[in-house]
Amino acid sequence: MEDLSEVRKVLQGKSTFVGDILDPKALWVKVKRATIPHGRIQGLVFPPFPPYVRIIRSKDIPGKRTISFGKVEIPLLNESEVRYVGEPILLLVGPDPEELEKLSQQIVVLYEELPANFEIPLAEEGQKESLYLKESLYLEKTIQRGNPKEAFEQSHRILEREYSTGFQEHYYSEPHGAYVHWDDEETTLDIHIASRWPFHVHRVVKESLALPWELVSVSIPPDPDTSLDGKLWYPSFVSAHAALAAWLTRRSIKYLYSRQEDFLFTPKRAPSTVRMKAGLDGEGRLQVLEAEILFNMGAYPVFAEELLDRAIYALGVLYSCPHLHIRGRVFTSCLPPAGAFSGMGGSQSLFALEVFTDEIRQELGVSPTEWKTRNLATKQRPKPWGAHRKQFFPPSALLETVLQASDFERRHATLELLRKHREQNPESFTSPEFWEGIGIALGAQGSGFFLDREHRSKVEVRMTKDKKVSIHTSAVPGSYALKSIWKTIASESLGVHPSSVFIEPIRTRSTQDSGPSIFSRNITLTTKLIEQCCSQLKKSLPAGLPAQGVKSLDPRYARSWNRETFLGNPFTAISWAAAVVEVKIDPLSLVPQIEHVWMSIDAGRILDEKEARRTIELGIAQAVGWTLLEHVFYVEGSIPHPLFWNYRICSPSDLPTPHIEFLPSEDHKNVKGLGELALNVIPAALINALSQGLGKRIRAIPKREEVLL
Amino acid sequence: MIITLDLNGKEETLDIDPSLRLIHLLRNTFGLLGTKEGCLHGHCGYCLVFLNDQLVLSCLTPAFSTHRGKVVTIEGFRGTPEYYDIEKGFLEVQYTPCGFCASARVLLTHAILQETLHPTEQMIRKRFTAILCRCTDPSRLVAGVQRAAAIRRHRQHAV
Repeated sequence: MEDLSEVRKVLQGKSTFVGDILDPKALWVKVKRATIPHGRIQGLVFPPFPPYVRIIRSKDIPGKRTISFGKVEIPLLNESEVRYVGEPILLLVGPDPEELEKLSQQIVVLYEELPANFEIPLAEEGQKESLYLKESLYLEKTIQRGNPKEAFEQSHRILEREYSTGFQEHYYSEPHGAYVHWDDEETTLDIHIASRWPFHVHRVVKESLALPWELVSVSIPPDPDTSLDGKLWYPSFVSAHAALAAWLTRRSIKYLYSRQEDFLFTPKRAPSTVRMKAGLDGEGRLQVLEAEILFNMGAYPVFAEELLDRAIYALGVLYSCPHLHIRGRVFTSCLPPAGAFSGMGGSQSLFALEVFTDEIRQELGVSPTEWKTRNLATKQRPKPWGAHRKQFFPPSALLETVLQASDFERRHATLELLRKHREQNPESFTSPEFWEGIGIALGAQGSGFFLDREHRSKVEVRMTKDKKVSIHTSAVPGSYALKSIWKTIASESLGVHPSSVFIEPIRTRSTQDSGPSIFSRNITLTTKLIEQCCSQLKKSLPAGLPAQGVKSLDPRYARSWNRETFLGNPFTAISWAAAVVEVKIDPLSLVPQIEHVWMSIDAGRILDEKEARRTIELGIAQAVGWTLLEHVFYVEGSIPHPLFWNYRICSPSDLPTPHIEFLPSEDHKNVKGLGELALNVIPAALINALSQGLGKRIRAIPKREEVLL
Repeated sequence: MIITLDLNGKEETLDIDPSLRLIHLLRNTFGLLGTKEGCLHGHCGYCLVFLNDQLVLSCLTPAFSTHRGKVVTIEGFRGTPEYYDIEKGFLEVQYTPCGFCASARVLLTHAILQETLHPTEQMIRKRFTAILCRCTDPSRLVAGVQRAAAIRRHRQHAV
């Protein structure tokens, strides 16, 4: 149960966000953005500016002028070769944001336009790959097991299909923004920003201004918002702009994107194309799988390897398959950078895999249950990644539980008969009755960052002489319930009243660096580190108070994974889910209504079942939005403006109350992540249901009615 | 132009720019930050307030239209018995919206309960499409509103 005083504060409207920081003396920042998707800037023509407006250009940045992610260098301000519509060119700083907007529009940018690519530039089969394609290719990986060529030659049946997924807007509550407090006497930069990675913000600001570490401090607003992963790295970019303005003007700065600006220019979920080819033996068992995964990551492919590895891994996580060939490629394009998003990589691959397996079983004329049971990986029929620990296999109860709860086999068989009847009697398509469909999909979620070896994660717990306990972590909780879980752990472990436990406000100057709050790291790694800190502190209690416990992430598991060969265990844990979705479709409008959602989940030890259900339900809403509603597309590198007004996320009326069952886990000691599970299973289950109901296979999401007509 | 309004029970007279939006009057002039600024185009529903007992989107409402009117924001509503029905109902089912849309959800719940003290699940789900936020699990929202309705029924009977 959450801390009631905190929840009351929320309900009473007392939560504060960056936009709520009122400082009438603060100056504002406006970004002058590129208006073409690709080109070299030849010159800038400025109108006469009032003396109180400051222009900040790339050459004014005293330190590092880019943000680095591996080989990717993102210019903070780009006056040379712009790579997407909306890329920041320069900053205007002044007292009136509306005046800055008008002045910004009067600045003329002279471009030499360059060719721009927006799509993945694919060569046709048999064609030689063009130079253009090679220039856009950022990353490529090929993983092979067994002898796929020979296995295809021996296959009884071969099936090939292509699937695609679209962009998705994060739609966090508050748009990106930062407030930087300037103190003349202290000459420090105190940055207030909503970020899931406060120490990254600190590092980027420090480097860009060439300041000592101690002259920068980053504070995170205490109230969780639903920023999800949209505020992972981009806040560092925004902070660098705001801090630069504060440093050069020696004034406090307020910098807030409008919602439209945020929608048009900030990272989205990366779209994908997945081509699948399967070879089956005489009994319908998967013998060989060939896949090509393609991602369009926009101008700057941040976390490209993480995205690609997760996508490749997901294709081999469920089913036994002795022969495998997966090629994954990440392309750049002249679109805003696509970033991390819940279910990153895994959601795109598992959508393709689970729709593909439904097509396979349909071709074979068997039920989904029968095919899945025959092909699921077990210790006797291992999956390709060479993991042998029990928890790395789908638990047997996963499928049985969801089948029983949903009466899937009976419903599916009945609706399959109706579908066939409609196929044989096309005139029945004009029937005014609803069409119905039911679909199933399985999936998994790995907890932790593939890149954890590169990111520190440290937590500290302190107890004072008067037995007050404080938790020091920069992990940004996404809910009040998680804060409550951490407090309960400390309270129970150290034998103090819960009211004596505090979570220190996140300030990088005074807290520990717990790494990025992504991929369920908060509930898995941070929670574990808090438990370990408390145990350590408890052991030191006989020596007297004050006492402390400090623990860091043990990166052994990260070292056991080989990114090149895909052998070992990449995650601290894997959680599992099966989903069944039932839909009704209006035959005239083809608009579906979701009637039922069932999910069975094995996510190890569940610390707070109500919060776990809430997390799953939020994930279902996001997954349904991505599958059915949330259309984002670019025309010549820009999102058409009407799209912003029409963008609709999933609302309460789009969803039924889901039936969620947590399985008693065989791995009951381990706390595992579950935030991505719905994203990884619901899209395929929903599309399989829709395909049955429509009698037409859908292979691309978001589904659009006009494509079906 | 000069307007006079009843803001959270207090009469206010002030000179405003005719193009001023109500949300900016509330937030920037009076510091009533419980009303959150979202899209400024009537799309997200975060900025709901009561104007003459009707819920309005304060981002689309000109400030001058409140002249001689009565405006209630979350700051004015949160001390009332009606507010406590909702707070209690939400807390009892552990429904916690995020701080960005919470005020709008509380006020919308009040508007629903003024219409009926027996809101159906379907009605609640439909009415809450007015607020677009990724924070809310719909089943606990429904439970929270229905619990608040039960508490208000009980309180009104007791009175």
